[in-house]
Amino acid sequence: MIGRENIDLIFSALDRQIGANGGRALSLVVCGGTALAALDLVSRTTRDVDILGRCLGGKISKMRVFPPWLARAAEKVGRDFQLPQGWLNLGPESQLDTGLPRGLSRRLKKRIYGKYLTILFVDRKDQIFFKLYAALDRDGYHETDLFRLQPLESELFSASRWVLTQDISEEFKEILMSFLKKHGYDTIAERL
Amino acid sequence: MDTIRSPKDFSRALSEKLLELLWGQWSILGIASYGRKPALLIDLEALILATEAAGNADQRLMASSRQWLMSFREWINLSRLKRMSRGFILGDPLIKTPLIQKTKWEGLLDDLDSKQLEDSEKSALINKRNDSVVTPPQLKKPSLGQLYLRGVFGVNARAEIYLYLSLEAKGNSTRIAREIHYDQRNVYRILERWTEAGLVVRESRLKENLYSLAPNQRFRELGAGVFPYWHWNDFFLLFARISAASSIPPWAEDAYLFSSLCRDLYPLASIVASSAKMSFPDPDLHVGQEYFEPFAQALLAVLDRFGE
Repeated sequence: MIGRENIDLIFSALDRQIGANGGRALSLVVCGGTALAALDLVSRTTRDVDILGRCLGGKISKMRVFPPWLARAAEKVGRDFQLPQGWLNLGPESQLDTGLPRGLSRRLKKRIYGKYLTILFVDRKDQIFFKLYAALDRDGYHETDLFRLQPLESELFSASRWVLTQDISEEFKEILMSFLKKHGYDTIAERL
Repeated sequence: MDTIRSPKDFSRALSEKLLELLWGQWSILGIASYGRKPALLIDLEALILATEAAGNADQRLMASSRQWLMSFREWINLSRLKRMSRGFILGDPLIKTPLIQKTKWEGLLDDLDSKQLEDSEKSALINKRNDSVVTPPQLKKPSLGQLYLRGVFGVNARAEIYLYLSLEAKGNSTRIAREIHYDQRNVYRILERWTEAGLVVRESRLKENLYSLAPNQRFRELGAGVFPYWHWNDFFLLFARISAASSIPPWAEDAYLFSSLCRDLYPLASIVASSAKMSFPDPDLHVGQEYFEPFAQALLAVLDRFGE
């Protein structure tokens, strides 16, 4: 499992494995539970590292598949730290198709793990956006994560506005309003 | 047992023990030296390769072994040596560097190929110094079963086939050829001839023919030592890789990467250790670089055991 106590160890190991496997320097944008733990926003463990894309010259772009050297490096680190298969994954990349919260790339929190690997963690504000969207789609830990981030009303309102750009159907808006009301944010629901 | 703090610490301890083992094996072959003389059977070609891989750390060992090789070239199976050398001279897939420098290796092969010494030249070479360090191998020594069999069968696949059947009891021609480093068709032809002659028994099982020595065909008990072992090529390949990695970047400076390499080598190391009823620590019980120290300690213990 990946938690606050071993995140740096794991990324540092990945950096060295990239070097040992003939890789090149790259910057990865990480969201999800790993980013929450790394930035000390939510204290919980996670099974995987969600990659939103790679960042080059301030622009986040899709990788689609990992280059072979990164796949090999990730495989070794996964084995060495007993992480599940696919622990480093491009699951959230499709988010780049539907659009990111405005200013996300400016807010990224950068950590350099060595000669090869830089990780850009998605900031708290953007995590609120993503977590609200995920909580509407699926029950469970996304909702818990969202409220552990203790969003201000203004943040939740901005997040709600952004979420509505991801799915423009009336049904989805209903789901959002019902969610907000369920959690006592009637005023936000009425403003949408 | 002392704590091994870093790959560099380990490199020193490993090199010392590995050289001790190599000296021990060469001393049985006839090179004058102090120290333990291991009791296990020796594989001459594997020993040559291991010495070339480790020899830079001990110039005296290198010089003495070269003198022995030039003096007793007739005991070496050059084609087998070339076949076995592939794992050492091609870039190792894990550490991405050859374990033996190709030019240096080719130089040795050229010398072995061309220098068929006359007896007088050989004597001169052996006696060129008052403190002559090489003497002819004594074939009756239990550890020199391979050379003894070469004395009986000639320097060809028959010696190793007989050795395999003595130690492993039975096998098919493909497996035997792979393990003794010969061409499968050649091994198959010999086994069939020996079957006709009654030296070997062929047993058909499913789609394969298994060969074993016929009863009462053992003309000398082989497998000297505390346990029967003769897979020195695997053994030396394992230690040459570990030894090379422990002395070059990035592994020499990075206990995590070194421990990761140890995990890569765990399957091979386990096979080697199991021959002596030893085991390596389970990698699943150690996370990240925590695997380095227990694995390194186990490697040193294996070297001690095989050097007994």
